[in-house]
Amino acid sequence: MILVSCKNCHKVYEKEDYTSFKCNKCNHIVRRRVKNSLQISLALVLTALFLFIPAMIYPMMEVSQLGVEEGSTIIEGIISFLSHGDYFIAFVILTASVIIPLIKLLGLLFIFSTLIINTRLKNKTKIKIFYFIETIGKWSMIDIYVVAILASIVQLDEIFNIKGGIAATSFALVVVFTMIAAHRFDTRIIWDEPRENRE
Amino acid sequence: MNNIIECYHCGLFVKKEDSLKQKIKCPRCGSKLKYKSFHSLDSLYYAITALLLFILLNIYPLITLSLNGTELKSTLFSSFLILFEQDFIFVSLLIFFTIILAPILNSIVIIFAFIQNSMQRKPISKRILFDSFHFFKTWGFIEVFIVSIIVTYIKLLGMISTTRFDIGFYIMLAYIFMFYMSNKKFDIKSVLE
Repeated sequence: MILVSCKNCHKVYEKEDYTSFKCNKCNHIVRRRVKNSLQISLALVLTALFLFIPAMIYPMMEVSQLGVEEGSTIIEGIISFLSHGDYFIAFVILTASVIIPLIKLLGLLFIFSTLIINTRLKNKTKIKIFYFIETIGKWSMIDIYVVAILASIVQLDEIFNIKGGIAATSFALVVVFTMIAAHRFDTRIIWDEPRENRE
Repeated sequence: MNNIIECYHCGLFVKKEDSLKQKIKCPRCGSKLKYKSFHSLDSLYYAITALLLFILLNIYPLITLSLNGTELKSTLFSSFLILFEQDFIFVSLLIFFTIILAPILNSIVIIFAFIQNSMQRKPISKRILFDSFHFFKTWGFIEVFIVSIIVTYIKLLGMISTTRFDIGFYIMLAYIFMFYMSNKKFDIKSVLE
């Protein structure tokens, strides 16, 4: 006899084996582990990593002042703050828009790789890293919202005007894909014995 | 069967003791296991208040500034609309969903759950209510939006000194509180029973 429980409504069943069935409380399919969770999460993380490149290269917003149009990428923004001597603001933008999204992606990639490669890292630490990544996930949307509010507020036609840039779409996709990847990943497979985690 | 819960962080089945404690810790991975959440009618009142505040919120501007004698302002709706007009369809729809649609529907789902509990007929199936609640809860980022308003304020203040928060921003603070409380005092598992 084995125990299996519905991830959705948390009802526990006693069954003969791990074949999937429908939960009679909430109608969701009950499986021992989320189906193909590692493969899907890994695919999404890699997609997000590639999208991170255009998010850095292209301008996040286009500022036109007195008819002069100027795109500003995240990196350019940081450099301009540094050249003005605002080290603190430059540091904050660098962490919030570049380092944290990158840490999230590399952290997830690292956890996925430790499932295949043996490391001395404790499972407890892995789970802590994972839940940290999951909780900070949605806070990367700040960049997108700031562009949206700035674009909506600064509208003086020719004199001073802010528009969104191409990187906004890529950056939003990076955030969304990272979040879906973190949601889709079933942390229980970290604790499973090797080879056993194939359903 | 009712005394066993699974830790969804590591997959260990834990037998719970008959204690009044609401939270226990998983012995293997140390994560908190929640098996009884707080559920009360207060959630309904908070959800209704939140919805009403949300309507008010859309009337007043969040940030205003005056530049060369022109008054510029930004509302919740305009920040979505402007990107839509500039052909950023994906980003604008994402913003629309995460800061307008999802929070509204979250409150509506809570209200519906309470109405259906005291009704004989169930027009919306339990599963739809249950799933949509989880979906709107994970994809509603209204609290992130309020932080980004503050960040925008700081950024604009460096360029234009007349920038200030408007009534909408303060209504939004109250809204966030109502929204948070309605979710905290609500347990979606009650619709399944």
